[in-house]
Order: sequence, then C-alpha cells, then structure tokens
Amino acid sequence: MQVGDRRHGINARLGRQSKHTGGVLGTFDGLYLGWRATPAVRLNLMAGSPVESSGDGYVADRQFVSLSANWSGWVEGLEISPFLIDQSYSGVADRRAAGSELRWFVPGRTVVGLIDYDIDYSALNMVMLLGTFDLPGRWTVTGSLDHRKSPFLTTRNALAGQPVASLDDLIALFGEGEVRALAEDRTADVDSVSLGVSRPLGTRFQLTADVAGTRISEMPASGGVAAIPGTGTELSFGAQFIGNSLLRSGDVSILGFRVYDGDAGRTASLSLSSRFPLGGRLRAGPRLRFDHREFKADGSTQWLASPAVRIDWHSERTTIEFEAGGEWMSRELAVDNEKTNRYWFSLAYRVGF
Amino acid sequence: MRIAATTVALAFLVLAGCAERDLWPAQRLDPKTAVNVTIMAEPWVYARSVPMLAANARDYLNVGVVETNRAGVRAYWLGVVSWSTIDRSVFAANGASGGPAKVRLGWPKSSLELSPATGGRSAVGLSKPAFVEPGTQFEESWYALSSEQVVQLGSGAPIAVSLISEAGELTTYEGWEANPAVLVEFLKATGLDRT
Repeated sequence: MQVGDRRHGINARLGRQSKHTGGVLGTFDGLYLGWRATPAVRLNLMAGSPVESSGDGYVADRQFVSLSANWSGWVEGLEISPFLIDQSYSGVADRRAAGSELRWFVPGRTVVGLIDYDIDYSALNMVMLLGTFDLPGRWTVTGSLDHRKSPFLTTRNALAGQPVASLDDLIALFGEGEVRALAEDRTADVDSVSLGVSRPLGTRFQLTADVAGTRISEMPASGGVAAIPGTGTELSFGAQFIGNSLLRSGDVSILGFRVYDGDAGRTASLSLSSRFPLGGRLRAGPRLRFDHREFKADGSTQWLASPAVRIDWHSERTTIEFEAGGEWMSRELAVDNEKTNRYWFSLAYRVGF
Repeated sequence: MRIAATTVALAFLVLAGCAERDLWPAQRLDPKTAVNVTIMAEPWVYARSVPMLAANARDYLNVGVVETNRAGVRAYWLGVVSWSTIDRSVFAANGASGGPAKVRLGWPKSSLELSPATGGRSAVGLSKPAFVEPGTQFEESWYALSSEQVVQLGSGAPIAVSLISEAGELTTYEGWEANPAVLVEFLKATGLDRT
C-alpha cells in the first residue's frame, strides 16, 4: 500500500518492499515513511522485519528501525545520505550501524561511496568507493575500492554451520558473548580493487580493459565449525573488443580475453559472444569460450571448450529463455588424462511484477 | 643517402595525395534518375548516448551535403540519416516516427534551422541512399540548401545537430566524427569555394 501527499512532500509505503539505502540490506516487510523537509533535505524512516527469501512469509523475530536523510544542494550533483540502523534478533542486538552513502553525478564524472560501521561490534562492515571519469580522447576510466564483511556482520551469522536453527537455541548453548564471537568468526573480510579503461573506436566498436584484485580472509575454526581458508590475493586482467550493429542493427558481439591468477592456479580464458535481434522481440545469443587452467596444487593443466546458445523472447513483463550448450574438458594429470563432456539445456519463464 | 631521402619524401607526397583524394566527393550520374550528383566523401557523424538503454551503443546522425545538376540547374541538399547501434527490439514500438519536423544545426554563436524537403530522397534525385553503410537500418530526411548555406557549412562543422519533432521537442546529437576538410573538398569540387 502506498500513499503520498505532494503538498507536504510526504509519502509512505506499507507492506513487502525492497530498499538498499539507509543501511537496509534488501527486502523487508514493514513501513517506509519519507518527508521532504526542505528542497535540499529528505528524511526517511524505515521499520520492519528483513525477508530472507521472497517466498517466505512474515517473520517477526528479526526487526529493524532505520533513520536516514538525503542531503543535496551543497555541491552541484552531490547527494549525501547518512543513516543509523538498529536491528535485533530475538531481542539480541543483530546489527547496529551508522554510515553514509555518497553520490556525485556531473556530466563526465560519477562517484558513488558507502561507509557502514557497526557500532556494537566496532567493525567496519563496508567501505566502498566507485568512480567513473571521462578523459580527453573519449577515454573513460573506472576505478573501485571495496572493503566489506561477507556476509554483512550480524549476530545471526553465528548460526552458520551450527546444528540449531534459532539464535535463542544457540545462545542457550554458548551464551550471548560467545555467540557474538562466533558471528565474527563466520564473517570474512573481502577486499577488492579494480581499475578499468574504455574507449569507443569509431561508431561501432569499443575497447575495454581492466585489472582487478580480490582477497578473502580466512574464517577461523570455532564453535565446532571448521576453518575456511582465505584465498590469498587473486588477480585478474581482462580486455574486451565490443562491436555493435555489425551484421544486423542492434546486434552486439564481444571478443574477450581474461587471465586469472590466484593461489589455486592460473586460468586464461578467450571468449566470443554475440546477441542478435531476430525480429520482433526474439533474440539469439551464441557464445564460445576456451579456457586453459594450470592447477598449482598438482601441476596439472586443463583445456576447456564450451559453446552455447541462448534464445530469449521479451515482452513488457514476461521473458522466456532457452539455453543449450556443451562443455568439453581435458585435464592432463601426472599419470593420466581425464576427459569430461557435459551437455545442458534450460528453459525458463519469468514474470516481473 | 640522398636517393633514399628523396624516395621517402616522394612516398610521403603520394600517400598524402591519396589521403587528400579520399576526401574528394563522389561524382556520378545517377543511373535511375539521370541526375548528376556530387556527394560529400564522408558524412559528419553526430552521436547521442542513451545510458538508460545501452552503455556502449549510441544513436547516430550522419550528416552530409549533396549537389545535384539537372541539365545545368544546380541545387544543394543536406542529408540527415538517423541510425543506431542500440538494440530496441525488446521495447514496444512507438509507432512510425514520421521523421523530424525540422533540423537545427548549431554552432557556438549561430544556428541554422531547416525544414525537410517534401518527397525526401526522391526530391533530391538520388535512387540509392547516401551517407549510410550498407545493411544499416536508418531513417533519412533531406533539406534544400542555398549555395550560401553550403558555404556557411564550409566554415566549420556544426558542433551539434538537433532533430525537432512536430511538438517542438529537441533531440540533440553532439559531434562525434566531423572532419571539416570533407566539406572544404566538396566546395572545391563544386566550385563553391570561389563564390
């Protein structure tokens, strides 16, 4: 249910809804209330219960209240949105965070930032900065810095790997202090950084290239749950050559090359994919990928070839997708060769509402 | 040593001549309309990003000038070809666009507004499309130009081109690849550089 009063700048929404602002992490059942207090300031109140899956019914044991503001007008194109959120689970503090979002859009420059600090755990849940800048010569550079807890740090994370399903039962087993320590142990730190450039070549082509690094910390053993090792730093380098309207108006073809290098091994991947409008709302997308992998653990190498085709039909709310493909893999081990062939198809029908 | 330097210099001059020649307009007798046409060697290209629809694709306008000669009667035309690399096949058709009511060529301190010629390309006397690559879906409109307006275009390519709908809405395309030298060559070929 949604009501609004334009004269006073107030709008409200009651029921199942999705927000990724104000510290709220997605879908919830509850209330959103917004008030444009001044032309430059909007105040927001959200309260309700987070929803794990869209198929779930209303669950009242987790509840949150979020207060946030959207403040603009200080610098052209800049909006700053500080927030406070308090979320409880079975009466225990689940997530208590303060933070702010930042969005700056001016022609040729975009910066988006987010900081989320958990006051209860004294931990930085997320800090992210993403920027896109147009440079002379039609070059565009995009960079991102991202540090986050994965999953987001909440007391509920302590349930991961435990034989009980509710926080009450877990606290009865370990006590609240220990449960909070378990929640921290079940939460990894993920750091990633990326830098990319792109440039159109003429009217129909585009060149992009990027480098990225990701590191996931280990999660220690505790509370009967085994440790999960970290990944070390995984690096990737990729380049794409994109062509538009080469054979038919509106088609897209992408030739891509990417190299991944991490603790587990190194993978070089070459891919060619296209998407062609076939007429009406029907589109076809053939693709072909070759991978070469080197496994550091045993020194073996693997070749993989994977052709596939996807055909989809769209209407305003409905999508029908058909996809079929195969994968031929050959791995050279020290004493043997391993060959695996896989084939698949899928048919999907989606309705958006 | 001197021979090598001379050879390199000659090769450079030949290549430079070829490059210049590439900008020389195409001159031919249209086989179906029997009109002598002189067509600007390559169009000026203007682009419009639609970030809500596509990151790497754009809407384009190809803009070029044509001289027609019907038994000594010369006329000048501006061709405006609208095409796109954006896939709009998944969106509901908005019906026939009907083409723009006007086109506005914009310079920093002036602009030129033109109304389309009735009859389109047929009125020009071209039996085949100009300023568009084969296999491209496009819409075109043609505008009569005076020789003075062609000379004005020769002083510099517009920085933006706007299509104006019947309702007065502007769709503006910014310069993408607009080489002013192609119109300078066109003026030389048609003798308008001496007016």
